[in-house]
Amino acid sequence: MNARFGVKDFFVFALLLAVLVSVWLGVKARDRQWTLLQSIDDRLAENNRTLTQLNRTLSSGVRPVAAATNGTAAATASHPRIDAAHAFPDFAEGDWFIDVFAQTVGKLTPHVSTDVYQNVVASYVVETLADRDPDTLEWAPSLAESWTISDDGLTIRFELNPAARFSDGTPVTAADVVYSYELLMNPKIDAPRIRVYYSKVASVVADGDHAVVFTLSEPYFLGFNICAGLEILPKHYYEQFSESEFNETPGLLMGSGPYRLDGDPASWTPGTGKIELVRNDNFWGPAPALDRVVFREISDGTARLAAFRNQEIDRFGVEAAQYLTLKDDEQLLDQSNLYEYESLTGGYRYIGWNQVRDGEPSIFADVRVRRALTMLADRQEMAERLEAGLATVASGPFHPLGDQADPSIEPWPYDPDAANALLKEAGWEDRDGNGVIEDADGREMKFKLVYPASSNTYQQMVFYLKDAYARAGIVMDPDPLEWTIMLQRIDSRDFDAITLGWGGTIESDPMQIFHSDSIEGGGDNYVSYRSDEADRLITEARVTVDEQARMALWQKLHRVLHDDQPYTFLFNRKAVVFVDQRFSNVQVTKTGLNRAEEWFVPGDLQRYRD
Amino acid sequence: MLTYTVRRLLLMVPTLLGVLAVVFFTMAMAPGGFSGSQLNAEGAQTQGEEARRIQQYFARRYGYDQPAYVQFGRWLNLVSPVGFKMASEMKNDPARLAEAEQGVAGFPAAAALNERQRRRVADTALDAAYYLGLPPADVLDRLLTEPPEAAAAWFLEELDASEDATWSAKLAAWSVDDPEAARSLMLERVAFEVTGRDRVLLSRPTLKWPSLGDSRRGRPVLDLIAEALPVTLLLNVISFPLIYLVAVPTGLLAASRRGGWFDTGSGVLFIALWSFPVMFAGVLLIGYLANVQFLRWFPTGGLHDLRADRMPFLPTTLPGGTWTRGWLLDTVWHLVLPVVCMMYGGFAVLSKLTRGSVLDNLSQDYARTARAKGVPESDVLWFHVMRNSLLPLITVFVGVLPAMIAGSVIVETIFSLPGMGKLGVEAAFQKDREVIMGTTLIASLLTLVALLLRDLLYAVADPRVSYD
Repeated sequence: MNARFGVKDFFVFALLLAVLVSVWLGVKARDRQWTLLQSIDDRLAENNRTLTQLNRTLSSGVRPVAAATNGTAAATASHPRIDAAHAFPDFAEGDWFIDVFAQTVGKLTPHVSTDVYQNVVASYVVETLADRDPDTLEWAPSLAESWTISDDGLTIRFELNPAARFSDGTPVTAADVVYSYELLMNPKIDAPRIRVYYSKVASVVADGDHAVVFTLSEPYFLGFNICAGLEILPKHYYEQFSESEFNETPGLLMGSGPYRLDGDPASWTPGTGKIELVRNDNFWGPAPALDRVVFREISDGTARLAAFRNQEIDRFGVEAAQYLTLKDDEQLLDQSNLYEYESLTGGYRYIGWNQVRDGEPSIFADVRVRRALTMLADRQEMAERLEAGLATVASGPFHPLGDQADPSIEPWPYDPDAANALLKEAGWEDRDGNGVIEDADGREMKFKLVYPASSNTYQQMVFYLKDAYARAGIVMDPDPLEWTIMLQRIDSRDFDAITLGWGGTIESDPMQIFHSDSIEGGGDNYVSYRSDEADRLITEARVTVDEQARMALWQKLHRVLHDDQPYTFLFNRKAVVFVDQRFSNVQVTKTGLNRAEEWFVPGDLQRYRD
Repeated sequence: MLTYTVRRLLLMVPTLLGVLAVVFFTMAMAPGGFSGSQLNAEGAQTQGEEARRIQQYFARRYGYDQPAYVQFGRWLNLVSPVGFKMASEMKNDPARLAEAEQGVAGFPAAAALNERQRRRVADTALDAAYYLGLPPADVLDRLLTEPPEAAAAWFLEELDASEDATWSAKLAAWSVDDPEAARSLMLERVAFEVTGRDRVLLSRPTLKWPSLGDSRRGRPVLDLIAEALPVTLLLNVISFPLIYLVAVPTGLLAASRRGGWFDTGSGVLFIALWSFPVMFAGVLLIGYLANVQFLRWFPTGGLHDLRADRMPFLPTTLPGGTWTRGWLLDTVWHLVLPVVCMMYGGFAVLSKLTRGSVLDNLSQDYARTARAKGVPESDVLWFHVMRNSLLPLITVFVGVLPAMIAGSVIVETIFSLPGMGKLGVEAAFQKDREVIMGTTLIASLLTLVALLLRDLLYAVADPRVSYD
């Protein structure tokens, strides 16, 4: 034991460790300085470029003042909602909006990102040819100042706004639009999700610098939607990347929107816990008020609530279970405003009645049975008791805020007596006195209701329904399934009844869900609903380009679905959001809260500064 | 010793294969297989035919529609340093592309094409050549001399006739087996349908760089791990030494005062902490120590403040008199709660282990001899017994190494730290095959290496142990 590890050795080791750690920290500090220098350098280079451009414009004899005025005038016409914010007496520029995501966003590159939250970020940075006004739902000009649609609806010609600029100051031209389409259709680009929507577009051709013509291969009611919704990317920027670079670089996000990514998009990396957007100083419309829009990633619900209480984040979305305790929370109401709203994109919940089992018509093939099952469920009470009042009873697949829904249709009422009468009419009554109703052959009314096992709210709802049906002599067994098994059972049509939800869009296409062609071959009509009337209406509406005529057809379809009840339509759900009190011009629109580029913070309330 | 090491190293290969196979086939045999949860990952049901086509695209792209053993074989080929080349590597080879482009330029029909189109044709030809096993020149000849429709039809026929008999079934799934429909498709589209799957070129195996593949989100798995690993390492490099610093002296003291109030007290306290669930502790810490309603001493999560990029490195008083904590202190401040969560459960095992081994040694002959010759009790403890008692702790530490890399799922999720644990769990939920297998490979490899290291260290530290 001559090499005893003594106190002296311990100190030598500790000293060595301390030296190593300090060296490492020193390197780290240096590295930070270098990064900072780099970003300052980039910014200087950008300023230089702008200056050179300005000089060139000046020396070439163009009157930049006039051009700028023209530009502003045109731009004002194209972003009226941002401009409206400027009209407030206490309007002020400055401050940040700090939003929160529950998941890490791994990729921002448009077309190829599969992250749910990517389009939230992209919507601030990239613009499309036209946008729907969130209040009127009419199409409003964005990058295109006007458009013409041919009578057969197959050719759409967009006139681009000549004032439009990307965030590096380059004008948006027709070549960029064509490039954006070609990039999307390039088979080497990993964009199958978006590409399938564009399979009906036959060609996109530039006509001069400021006009683009889209040609569709067949009339389709969402044709304009698809063309106008193409994200326009700057050709000169994206062209420098190869296909595999484009696929793999996480942060290639650049466009013409009011905000841009802070720093060089090519060097953005995920996993820092935040995404920072800064105001695009080259924006061609009226400048948005907020200096920055920041997205933080907080995965835990408790931490998110605490962060909102601490005013570390400015928006907090409330779940139905928390709603009752939080809506009267003084501390939250002191610092923030509560918004409860229905949104067109909220979707609906339903119970689907499978009309065919093992090739035979099931007990649900009779429309009277389906209607009776709808009327036995007190959906109003369910909405109040199980959803904390954050849901309204649905009458069909179309959201009542949209034009597809027929406003004269009332949901079927809760009426057990009428339901029992209907069941009796259909031949179901308690013949042997055991409390369960049977048909003429002695078959008891008994079925299993499939629901997602992971969800508490579905479970509560299913048990509520079990009681309601038991009172009418119907035996319903809950059948909770794990998601992947449920998908398999849906694919093989192997279930009696199922409860789930569909997501919503401004104008939805019922083809996949209610057309009889979608019963076979993996379509989503997994309840095997077959109605000639519905088929005819859907087929006709899908090729009707005229909006009013089409809406009339959708409304007729709504009536047919209401009468036939292939689903028991349960609820349209509301969203509840807290937003920090300092923001002004926060509005509830038909598609949810208006966008943060329209918000502002009056001067004395501003919290963050660049 | 050397023979032993070599034998152990060789044994690691089948063990590793076994671990990977178990993980892979468990995932593959779970309902829905690897592709099952694709829709779930999107948040909700997606409406329409699109969802299905997307699912089919991914099934083909990543081969989820193939039997599990084929998928496993392809993955092993990917990670192995010796293996077969893939068709995509060949067709993405720039030299070959340039060659093909020159070939395209040689055809009269190519005069009408611009550079971009020419490149696309060359690309398609190369794809086709590799998927069909035809010479690229033949494919080019067809594509450029015949009208597109005829070329497309020919292309499909060739596919049907190719050695891969399952092609027609796959094409049927994509409804391009209908010749009428297929003819109307552009040539590029047909090529796209075909390029979905990468083909293994079964020739002589070559040396190649091992790769972990691409995640479902479209980024190399290695990049994802490179981003997540530093976060996990930082947490563990801070918390493990702190655990040792607290637990070892406590264990020593407890042993020297066996049965006393310190022994009982520390034992009860540590066992209580050990049995307290981390999930609950994390939520309580955030709820009370990072909440403006109670004590707002710490941030709620993340690794840096939003404005940390603009902070100086060290705590500084800025001109104008405001004090800023600086980047370094800010990071430390963010790490406090997660590190506490990582630490508190670890005290019990280590301190009990130390206590046990010290007690063992205190009753040994050499300790009694030392006492008998008049060495004071404290010297017996600190100079004779302690050194021998710490041997087992070294081996425990080596065993902990894999855990340092794997990360803590719960702590990382609660405090929003993008580390290895979170990466692995998110991948498991999304059934992201490449990420799951990549992290499994690294974790199991490290565990095996650590086990070997532990056994070797044991022999080094304790001369009584020998493997020869």
